Amino acid sequence: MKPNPSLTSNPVPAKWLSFSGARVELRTGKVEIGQGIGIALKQIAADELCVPVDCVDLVAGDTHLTPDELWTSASISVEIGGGAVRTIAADVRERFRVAAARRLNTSPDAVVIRNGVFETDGVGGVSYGDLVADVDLTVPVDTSIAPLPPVHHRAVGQPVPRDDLPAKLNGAGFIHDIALDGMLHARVILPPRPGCTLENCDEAFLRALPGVRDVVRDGSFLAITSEREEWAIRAAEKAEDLVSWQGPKLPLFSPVADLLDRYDASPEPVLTEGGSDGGDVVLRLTRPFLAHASVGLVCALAEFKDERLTVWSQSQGVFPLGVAIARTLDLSAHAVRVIHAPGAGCYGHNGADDVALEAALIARAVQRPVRLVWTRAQEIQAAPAGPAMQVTLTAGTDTNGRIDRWSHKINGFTHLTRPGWGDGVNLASAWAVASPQEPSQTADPGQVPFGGAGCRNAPPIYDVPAQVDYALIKERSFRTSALRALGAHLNVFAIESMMDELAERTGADPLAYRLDHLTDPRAIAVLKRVADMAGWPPAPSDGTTGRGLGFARYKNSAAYCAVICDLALDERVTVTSAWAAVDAGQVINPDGVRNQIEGGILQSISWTLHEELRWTESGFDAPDWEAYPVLGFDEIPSLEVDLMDAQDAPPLGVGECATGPTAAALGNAIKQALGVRIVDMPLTPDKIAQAFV
Amino acid sequence: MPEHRFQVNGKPVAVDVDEATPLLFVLRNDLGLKGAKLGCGSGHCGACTVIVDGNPVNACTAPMWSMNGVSVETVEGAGRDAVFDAFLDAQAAQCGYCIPGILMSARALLQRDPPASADEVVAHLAERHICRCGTHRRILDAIEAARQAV
Repeated sequence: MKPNPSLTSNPVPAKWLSFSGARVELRTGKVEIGQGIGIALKQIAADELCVPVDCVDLVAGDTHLTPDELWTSASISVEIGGGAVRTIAADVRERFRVAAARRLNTSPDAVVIRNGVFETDGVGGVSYGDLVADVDLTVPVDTSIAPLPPVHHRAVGQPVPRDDLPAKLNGAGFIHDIALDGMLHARVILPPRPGCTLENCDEAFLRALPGVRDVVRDGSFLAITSEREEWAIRAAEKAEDLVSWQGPKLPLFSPVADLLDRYDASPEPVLTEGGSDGGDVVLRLTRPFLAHASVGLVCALAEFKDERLTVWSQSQGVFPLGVAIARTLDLSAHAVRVIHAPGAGCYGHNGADDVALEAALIARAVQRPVRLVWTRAQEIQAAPAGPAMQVTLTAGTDTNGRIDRWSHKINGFTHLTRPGWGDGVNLASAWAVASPQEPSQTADPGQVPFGGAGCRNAPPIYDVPAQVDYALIKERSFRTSALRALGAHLNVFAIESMMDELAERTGADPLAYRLDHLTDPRAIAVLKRVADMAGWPPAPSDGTTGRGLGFARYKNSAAYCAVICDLALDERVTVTSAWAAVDAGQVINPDGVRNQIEGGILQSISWTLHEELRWTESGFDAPDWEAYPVLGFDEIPSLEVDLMDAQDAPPLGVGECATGPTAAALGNAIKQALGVRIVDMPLTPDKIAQAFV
Repeated sequence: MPEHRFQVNGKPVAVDVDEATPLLFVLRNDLGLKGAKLGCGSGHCGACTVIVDGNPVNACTAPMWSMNGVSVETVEGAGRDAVFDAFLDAQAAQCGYCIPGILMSARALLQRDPPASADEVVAHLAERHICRCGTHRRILDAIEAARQAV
C-alpha cells in the first residue's frame, strides 16, 4: 500500500486523538468547506473506536493544535485524511483494549467494546476516559493494526446528518461571525491586476475621510480601519477613487484561443504511448477564465499580541498559509498561529489566503485586533481566476472503427499558485509591501502526486494509444490558480466530445462505442448504470431537445462518474434532467456524497453554459453579480444520483468527479439535438446560432 | 446621531447610528444577530435577507431611516420552525452561507395569505438569491416540503 502522507507527517496518535470522560476529541488538518468532511471524519473515528458519533468533538485546521495535512483539496480528504484517522483510531483502540484487559484482569482478546465502554463477559465497564493514564499515545502509530471490517461499521455508510449545519443555518457558524474584543473593521484598497504599484496616494487625505481611524501603508499595500464596518466600507470606496495604480496593462485578445496562442510555452510530454499523431478528426476546445465567485466575501481576523500573531482564516491550507505569513512578516513560524473557521464555498484558491495576510499586516500596524473583508469587486478582480485553457485533440480510427491514434495537446495558464506551492510566497500583498517577497516560479509537476493540474484527466481512460502534451504558460499577466477539478473540466469535455464524434463517424451508439474501448469493469458498470437510469439510447431529436453522455474517472484514480443530461433548446439552453452513476468505493456518508455530486453537476452546468470571466486592459472586469451571471433557481433540472455498491473497496474522492462528465454531457447533448459541436465554453445560444452561419 | 426605534424578533430596540447605515450592520454589529450575511452589499445575492413587516428585504441596502417603527424578523427569531426542519431534513446546504437569507425569503413567501405557489417560490428565488455550491435542487425541494406542510 502507498504510504499515507497525512500519517507520514503526523505519526503520533496523541496529535490526533484525546479522551476525556465520555468525550473523544478528534483533531484533523482537513477543514470543512461545505463538503461535509467534518461529519465523515467523525463517522470514521467513531466506528473505529466503537463509540457513538455524537461523542466525537472535532478540532480542524489549527496550526497549534491539529496535524498538518497541508491543503483540503483535490478530493483527497476522505481517501487520505479519513484513511489516516482510521489507521490512527484502530491503533489507539487496540492500545486501550490492552490497558482495559490489564484493569479487568483478563486478556485483550476477551475484551469487547460497546459504546466506548470496555467489558469482559458483561463485567467491567471502563471507558476511554478512565484509561487515559494507562495508555501512551506518544508512541508512533503502528500501521499494521487492521481497521475493523465494514460489517462492524455502525456510522460509516449511513447518511448521518451534518452537525455543523444548525448553527450555519440559524446563526453564527462562519468566520464572518467572529467578533474579537476591541476589534477594528478594515478594508483594503487593492491593485486592479498583478504587477501594479501604488501612485498618487495622499495618506493625509485618506486619514481625513469620515470614519477613518488608521491608514496603513506599506509599499503598495494600502488599508484603512474604522470603528464601524459601514464606515470602513464607505471610506474604502472613496479611497479607491483617490489613488491610482501604475503597471503593465492586460493584453486584449478574443477569443480565448487567440489569447493563449500569443504566449510562448513549450509542450512537455505527459504521456507517450507510441506515435499517436496523425489522426484525421481534430477538435480544438477552450475554456475561458472562470471566477470562483463565492457567495460570501473573503474574511480574516488577526490579533497581534506580545510579538505573537493569531489569524482566523477560511483558507483551505492553514499550515502553508501560516508559513507564508511568517515569512512576509519576518516572524518565526511558531509565532504565527492560524485557526481555520468556515467561509462560504469557493471551490479552489480564491482570495481567502490573501485576506489573511492582509489582516495580519493591518493588525501589526494598528496594534488592535482587526477584522478584514474584501468587496464583491475585489473578489473578482484581485483573487486568482480559474485559468483559461485550450485542448487540441486529434484522433483517428482503423478500418474497424477502433481508435488507433490519439493526441491531446494542452496549453493554458497555471492552476497551481496556492501558498505553499514552490519556494516563494504566493500571497498578493506579500508582493506589494516595501520589503516584498517573490512568488514561486510557475510550475506544474505533471501526473504526480495528485493527478496533475492542467493535465488532470488528460490521459484517456479508454483503451487507446495516447499521447498527451502540456504547454504551461508561465507568464503571469493574469493571476490564476486552482478551481474545482482543475484541468479535468476541459480535458474531460475534450475527450468525451471526441468519443461522440468518433462514434458518430463509425455509425456506433455513443455508449456502445465507449464500452468497446473500456476494459475496467467499474467504468463499464457506471456507464451501464447511468444508461439504465436515464433510458438509453435517446430518441432522434427534433431540434428542441437533446441528450448527451459524459464519463470519467476523476484524476484517473478517484471516483468513477457517468452523467447523462437532457436539454431543452429554445432561446435558452436549459438542462431539464440530469442523471449520475458514481462508484466512489466505500461511501462514508451517502447523503454527503450525493450532495457533492448534485452540487458538482449544477456548478458545472453553470460554468459550462453561462460563465466567462472577461477583462479590460485594467483587470478582470465583473464588479457585481449582474456582470457575472451564474446558474439561477429557475433553471434547475431534476437530479438523480445512484451510488454503486462498492463498500468493500477503498473510499475514492468524489468532490470533483462530476465536473468534467457534466460539461461533456452538455456539449454532446447540443450535438445530438442540433448536429453542431460547440467547442468553446460557455456553450451559449449565441455560439449555437453562429455555428449555423 | 438620530435614534432609531423599531422591533427585532418581537422586542423593541433603539440604536443611535447614522440614518444611512444599512440595517445589516446594525443587526450584525450592534445587536449581535449574525444570521443575516453580507454577500455583495448591493442587493443582488440575497444572503442578507430578513423579513421587514412581512416582506423579504435585503438588509445590506436597506437604510436605517426606513426602519423607524417597523418589525424586523431574522433567522435567530424564527428559530427552528417547519421551514428550518425541512432544510435540515433535506440537508439542503453545502457551505450554507446563502441559506439564512433563503430561509427568510421562504418564510415570507409561505406566511403570505395565500402562501406563494411553487412557481412563485422558484421565480422569487431566481430573482433574489444566488447559491454557488449547486444546492438549488435541495433548497427548492425543502421549501416545497415546507409549503406542503403549511
